[in-house]
Amino acid sequence: MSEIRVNPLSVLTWNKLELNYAKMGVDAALKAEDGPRENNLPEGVSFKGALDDAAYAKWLADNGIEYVKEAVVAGKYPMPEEQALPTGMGAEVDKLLADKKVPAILYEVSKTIEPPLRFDYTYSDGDAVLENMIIHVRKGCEITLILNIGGEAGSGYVGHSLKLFLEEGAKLTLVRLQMLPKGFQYFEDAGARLMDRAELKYISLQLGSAKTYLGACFDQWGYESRLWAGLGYIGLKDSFLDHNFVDTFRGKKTVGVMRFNGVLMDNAVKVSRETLDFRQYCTGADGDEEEDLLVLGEDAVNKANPMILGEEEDVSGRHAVSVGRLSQDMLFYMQSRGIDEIKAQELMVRSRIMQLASQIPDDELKKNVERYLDRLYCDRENCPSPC
Amino acid sequence: MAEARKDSPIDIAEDRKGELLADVERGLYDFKEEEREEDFYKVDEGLTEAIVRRISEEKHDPEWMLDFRLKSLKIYNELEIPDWGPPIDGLDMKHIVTYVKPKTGMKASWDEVPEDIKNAFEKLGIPQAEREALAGVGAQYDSELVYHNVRKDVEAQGVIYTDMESALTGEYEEMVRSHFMKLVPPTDHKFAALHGAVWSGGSFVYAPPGSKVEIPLQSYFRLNAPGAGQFEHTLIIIDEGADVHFIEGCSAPKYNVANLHAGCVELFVGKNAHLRYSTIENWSKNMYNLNTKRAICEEGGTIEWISGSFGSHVSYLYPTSVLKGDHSHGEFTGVTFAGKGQNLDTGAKMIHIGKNTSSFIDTKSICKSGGISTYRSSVEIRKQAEGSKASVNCGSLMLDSISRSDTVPAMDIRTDKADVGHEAKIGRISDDAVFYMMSRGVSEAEARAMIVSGFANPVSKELPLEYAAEMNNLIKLEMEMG
Repeated sequence: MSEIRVNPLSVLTWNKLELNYAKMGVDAALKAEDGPRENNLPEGVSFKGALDDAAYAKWLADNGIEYVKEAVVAGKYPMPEEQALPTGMGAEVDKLLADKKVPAILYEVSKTIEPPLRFDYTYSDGDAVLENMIIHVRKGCEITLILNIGGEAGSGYVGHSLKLFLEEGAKLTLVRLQMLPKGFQYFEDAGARLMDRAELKYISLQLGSAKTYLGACFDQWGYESRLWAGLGYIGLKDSFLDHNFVDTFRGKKTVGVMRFNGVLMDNAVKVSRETLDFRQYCTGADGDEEEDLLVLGEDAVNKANPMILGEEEDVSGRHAVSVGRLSQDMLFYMQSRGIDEIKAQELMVRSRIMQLASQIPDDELKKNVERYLDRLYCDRENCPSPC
Repeated sequence: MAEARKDSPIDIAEDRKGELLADVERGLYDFKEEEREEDFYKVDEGLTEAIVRRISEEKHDPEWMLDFRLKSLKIYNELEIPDWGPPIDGLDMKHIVTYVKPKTGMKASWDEVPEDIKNAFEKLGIPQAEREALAGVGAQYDSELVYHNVRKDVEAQGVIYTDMESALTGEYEEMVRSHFMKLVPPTDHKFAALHGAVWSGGSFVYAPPGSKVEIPLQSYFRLNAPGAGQFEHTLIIIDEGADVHFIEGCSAPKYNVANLHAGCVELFVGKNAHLRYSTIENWSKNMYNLNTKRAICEEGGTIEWISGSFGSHVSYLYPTSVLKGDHSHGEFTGVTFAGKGQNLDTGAKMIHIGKNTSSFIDTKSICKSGGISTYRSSVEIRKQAEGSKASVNCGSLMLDSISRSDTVPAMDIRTDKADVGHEAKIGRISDDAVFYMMSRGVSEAEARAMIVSGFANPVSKELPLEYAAEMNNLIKLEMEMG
């Protein structure tokens, strides 16, 4: 496997910490996802074609999206990634897609769609697939899109890249649910541009795959644009998760909220980068980011770098991190009511994941998550009530 | 729009006021004592083996120290300049004089200090501070200490407070040898290696078991020569159960050439000992302040850092606490004020190794008039540090939109039996608070200065009164000058 550099930290810090970026292995056999693109689309959602590099560049230009050379930030260097529509994982994922000749599948939403639109991806043993998608939501339109990614037992490599463009007043709820088997490596990238009063709700729930890389960059260009982003994950034995979420505030009175809820078990490793980036003239912007991590594994490793970057005075930004084991007070409370430690842990894990899963507007998928959690506790040792 | 504001008549008037204040008020720190060639010994500009050997010879180093310097020089030449912090392109070692020694010995009586040097420290209020508040004072002028004195009651407890050169060549040589650059090895980074090669001056403190120094010891560092570097080494060893408060102050006049400060502070805190290390740093704004400070705590030991960073053009400063012993504790309380032309990258590091260790970081960053303030930290909790707790709290206050404030904290936690909390906030001065104060007769400028002083209060309240007053004056000065 060759390696590419992904999830770059928005400003560099001490190299010894190994947080400035991640190195991600790339399977040489990777190829573009194929299959029908136009089937079962509701009225108002249209497939606009598979864009090659030139067509993608034209689409960017047609929509006024161009690379903005960034000012020097805290450290010595300008922002390291040169992307017209920046993504969390960075420019090397775009380059990988170009090298593998993976076209960008463009969907355009030109009408408000009530029922959620769901795309199911089911992968098999040996798959090595890249998906590259653009969702363009036209002015004032609304849609809920669910990307449901799962697979049969086995091993493989799956990468999904997603670019989002929300025009003035557009609203998008996006759910990315990943329940791949443990043998898979997975990456999930996103770059979003929000124009005036656009609203994006972004939910990412990561319950499968042993090695996972996630990136998301939300560029809030528009006046009063709003973002709510939530990431939930469970790191199981021998699993690795690396993520980079960036919320860039450029428009006035923009609001961004990011929530990260995770659980690390056994020897799971998690590396996180979370940035609130307030650019000059984003007056009245308000950013809030919170990470809550429950550590249940003696050999778990948690590395984090939550940052606030500010070049505008009139903003309000806050981030908070809480990392720890199950509270002894909470445990005592539960034990005094006849709930043993394993069950108490299970309840805490369930509450964290279901808090996010309950927001998925699809009953079948919610049940899938519940079943996954049931199995998780049955598969573990000392389960008091095998199901 | 920031640019529009800058061109407004009010701002032009404010700028002029700032210039006037710069000429008048800043004189407290910016006065220059003319250095006559015949009163000082200097090595040539640049960094070569010959210069390092010359410094060693001048200082009458033992053989092992010369070897150490030469090894450090080799490491310096091999290491790269950091690629992650503020730019230091304006610093050219070829034009830095690494050793400037006043041709006067270290004096124990203030009256014996040469008049021009004495004037410099009198203007900074050092003897006054000694008379009124301190247990011992060391005053370093350029590369060497020119004055040193310790109160008799402190000496009577067996506390040693002397200059590094005396400690190195006297009865404490072995103690120095076994501790010198053991916490900050020259391989740590390029400027630690530079320090190892050309260090001179600084203080040595040893507090024997059970000793308590009720009032602070102080060192004051003044870099007067243009284009010079100051590389003082502070080595403090606090033995079991002892308790010391050490204060350092730094200042320099402003020149149009780069000056460099690459000092090193190593603090060894013994079992159940307590050390508070306070710094008010007000280097001139042509200074590259690339300083390294590190403490190690044995079982039950406590290190407290109090830090006020106001000066220098560029700063890299991250006091590190290595909590090696079980139940040891580290605290860092700091305020950084970055004004026009300043890029101050400051913060702290906590490394938890012992069981049930705890740490607390509380920092405040303020930036104004185009200044860049970066809070950078790391909290590491090693696997064996079960039962540890760490809390980080950082606040940033931006006073205009042409400045920049960044918060770059990192965590690396490798045990499930630890609790870590981190909180950061960025914001501006509340209009409501300013309005409230103005409605009670306080001018807007005063109201803003008072709010900023209040924001920095967690640091100033931890300092002795004289230093808290100095810090508040610095904040006021920065608020007025921009």
